[in-house]
Amino acid sequence: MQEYRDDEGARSATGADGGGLRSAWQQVRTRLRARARLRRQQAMRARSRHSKYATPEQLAYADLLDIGVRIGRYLLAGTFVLYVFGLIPPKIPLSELPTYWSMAADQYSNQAGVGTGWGWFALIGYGDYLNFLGIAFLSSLTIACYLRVLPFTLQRKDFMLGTILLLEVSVLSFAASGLLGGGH
Amino acid sequence: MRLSVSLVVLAFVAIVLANEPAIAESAVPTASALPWWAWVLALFVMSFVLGIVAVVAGVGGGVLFVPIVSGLFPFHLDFVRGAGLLIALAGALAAGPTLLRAGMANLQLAMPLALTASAAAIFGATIGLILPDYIIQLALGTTILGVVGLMAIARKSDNPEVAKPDALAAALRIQGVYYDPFSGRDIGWKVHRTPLGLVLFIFIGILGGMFGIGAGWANVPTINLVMGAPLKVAIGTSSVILSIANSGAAWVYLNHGAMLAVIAVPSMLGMMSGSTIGVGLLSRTNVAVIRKVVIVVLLLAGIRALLKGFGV
Repeated sequence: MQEYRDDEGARSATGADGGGLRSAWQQVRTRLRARARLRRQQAMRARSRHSKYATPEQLAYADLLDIGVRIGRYLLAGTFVLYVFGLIPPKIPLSELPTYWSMAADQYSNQAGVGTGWGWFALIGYGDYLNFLGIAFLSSLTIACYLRVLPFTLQRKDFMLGTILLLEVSVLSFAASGLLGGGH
Repeated sequence: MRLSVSLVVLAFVAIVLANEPAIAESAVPTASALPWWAWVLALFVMSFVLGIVAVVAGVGGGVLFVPIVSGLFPFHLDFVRGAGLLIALAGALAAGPTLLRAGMANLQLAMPLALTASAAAIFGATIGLILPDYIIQLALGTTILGVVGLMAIARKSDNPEVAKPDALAAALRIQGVYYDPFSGRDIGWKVHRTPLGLVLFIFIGILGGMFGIGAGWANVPTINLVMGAPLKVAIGTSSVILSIANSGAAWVYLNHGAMLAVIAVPSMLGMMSGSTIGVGLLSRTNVAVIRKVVIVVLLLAGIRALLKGFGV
């Protein structure tokens, strides 16, 4: 084991493989840094290429959307696994679902005791309603992206587009608020 | 590929005939003979196949999913429409970043259209959850037959000639440039008839929200043929508009309890996986044949929805 020890390793390593591990770790770290640098350079090149075809606000919108979709996808898949494998107990047992899924939505909500609006949020501790987090997250992404773009339009004094942005945020927020009535 | 498409058609006809009594009674809550997991597995497989077919045929997943799944599975139309909306939403959200960065989608063009489409989609979703089932089935059947007609006769124009942008398009600075890899050059574009496009998007939004079928089938011809944007920009921008309009409608369905995770999530996962395979098969399949098969399947699904609406 002695031949793997460098000076620094000899000073601090007490275990037999300390120097070897450190050297391997340094190699891994160097490679990871090189890859990260390469990715950054590729991203910069791609960005400069894209800037010819897309405005800065369009690129900002795309970047935030990209991150959001990734998070949403993992959230959706993760919560579904927790639900369907019974790791978090559901409000409606899976075996009883065939009795419920042929009902109209309002009939189902009444029988399951969910109610309308944000009533589902109170049931988030159940496996089936936990899945709604991913759905709500994906449905909210557009609002976040619009708010991300808003400063760009104000900066270049494009008040017409800024107004459209604010109107859209209001419309989507109203839909998300659960204030809309309905039911068969 | 032909095998999978044939299977969809055969499965559709066979299951519709075999399940006739069960589906007719679906207004009354009944337990299914099959265990829950068998339906969920079948739903995943069906969504996977539809995902492949949708990409190859160049139609949105939602427009195939809603009429076919509501005809074949014992799920209530409310939950199928909710899942259909999420499928369209997830696909559009995932495609958005690439399309926007490449200039194939344009925010200046998408935002005004998306505002009218999303307000209309929210209205459509709310109305769709209020109206009686038979009216929704009749309207869905009529809409699907309309989509079939549109698919059969619609023209496309790669780069329509727009002499001068209209006043609204000029005020909103709706214009852009995209790179066309086939011609190897940058193509500039502008649009006209923006007010007419905004009005048409009100109707498109209502239909999309009411039936959860997405609306790419109507968005693209409107942006391309009516407003004069190049076909590729129309397709890309349609996807971004879908992601915005469907976000609002999805909230309406979610807040009305018209979503079941056990239906929505496998459908989304199946459709996304199928779409990935479909993209790979795109260059190796006869798109014209697949498109004809899809038209036939949609025709059957539309007639089936109409019959259900008439209580037949």
